[in-house]
Amino acid sequence: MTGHEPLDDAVRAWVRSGPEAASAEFVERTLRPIPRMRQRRAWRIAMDRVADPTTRLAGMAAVVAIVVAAGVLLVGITGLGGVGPGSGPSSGPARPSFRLDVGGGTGAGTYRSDPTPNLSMCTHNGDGSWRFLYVGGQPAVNLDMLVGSGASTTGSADVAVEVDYGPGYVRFDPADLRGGDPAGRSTATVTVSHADGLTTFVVAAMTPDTSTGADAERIRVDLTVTCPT
Amino acid sequence: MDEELVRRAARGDAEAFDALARDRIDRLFAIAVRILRDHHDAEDAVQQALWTAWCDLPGLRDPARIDAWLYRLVVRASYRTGRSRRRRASVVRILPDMEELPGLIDADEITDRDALERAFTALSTEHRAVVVLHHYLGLGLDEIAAIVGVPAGTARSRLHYALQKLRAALEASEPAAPALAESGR
Repeated sequence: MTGHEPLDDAVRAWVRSGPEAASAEFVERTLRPIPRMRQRRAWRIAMDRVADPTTRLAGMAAVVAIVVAAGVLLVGITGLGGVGPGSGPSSGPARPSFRLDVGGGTGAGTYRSDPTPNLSMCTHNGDGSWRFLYVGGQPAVNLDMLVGSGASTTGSADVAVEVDYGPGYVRFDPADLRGGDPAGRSTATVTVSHADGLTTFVVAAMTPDTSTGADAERIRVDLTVTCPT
Repeated sequence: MDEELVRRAARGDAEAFDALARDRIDRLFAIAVRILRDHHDAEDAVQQALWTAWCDLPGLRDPARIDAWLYRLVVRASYRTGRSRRRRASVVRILPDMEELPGLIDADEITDRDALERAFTALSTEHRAVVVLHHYLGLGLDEIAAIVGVPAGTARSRLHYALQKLRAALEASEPAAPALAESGR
């Protein structure tokens, strides 16, 4: 600076210098999970916009009143104390869940499934393979796990995982299930077990930390996924 | 055209949202990286902002306000990221490549930039956001106030306070140049 330049100009020039574009890898990593995410209902968003606690409380009270009124009406129709068919206690289907332990690099730490994720889905495919997709939580986790049909209780390398966790990102595919992992880049084992209507996948991997878009130090990644069978 | 894309995306059309987001992600990243002064934090903030945008798009009342709404989301995400990372000691300084500004970089300028960088990172994320929205995007105070969700007077006082701090930093780095203090507002 020359000393004659107004402060606004100096600050403007300084603020305007710097990066103007996000990396292509980041753009894909950000936009790829969007189609698997669930949008919120407009009415729910509108409710959340009500910042005044009194108004929000009044709204909730109105909803409770409507539910109670509907319940009273229903009791009147079915008879007091009556039990309709199929209305016994039910805990609902078990939900998929996971625990991810990242042993180093960017975002090292433990991440668990959120009780209200945007997406959490296990699928058992016709060819015997399994897939688990998850998006949600805070910090956000975006997890895509594919377990090949060769996986068993004794362990195998038949697993491919791609996961964003907060600021971190890793992917590994040692068995070349998705064709994205050069030989020797990663090692991983997956063990499958079945009990009490649940299938559990225990994955242990050594893979490069790819949070910056390029392979960095190899880190330990442990992932346990439980799916309802 | 964009408004139609917004309407389609609000109805759950992921391809429409993808097109909208690809057009804007660089701008959102540029805002976040200037507020947060860290590439990874900026990516975090943009990711949060775009995922929130997709989830909450059905609640956007005026499709024509999509850009202002996205700016609001990325600023808020930057606040959250800034707060959660405040303890982190390392700060990545964003200096342009020397080749990008031929003939403009000299030792004094580097000293000034360093002073600005230090003073800027010492500001709160809320103050930084106002500076970036005003001096990078060129927005007026009323629009900035709407984006950051404060009265216009608050936006004005934040900008004034931030510029005072930046001015003081420049003066301290260049004690022999009093003309700057006189010419600055």
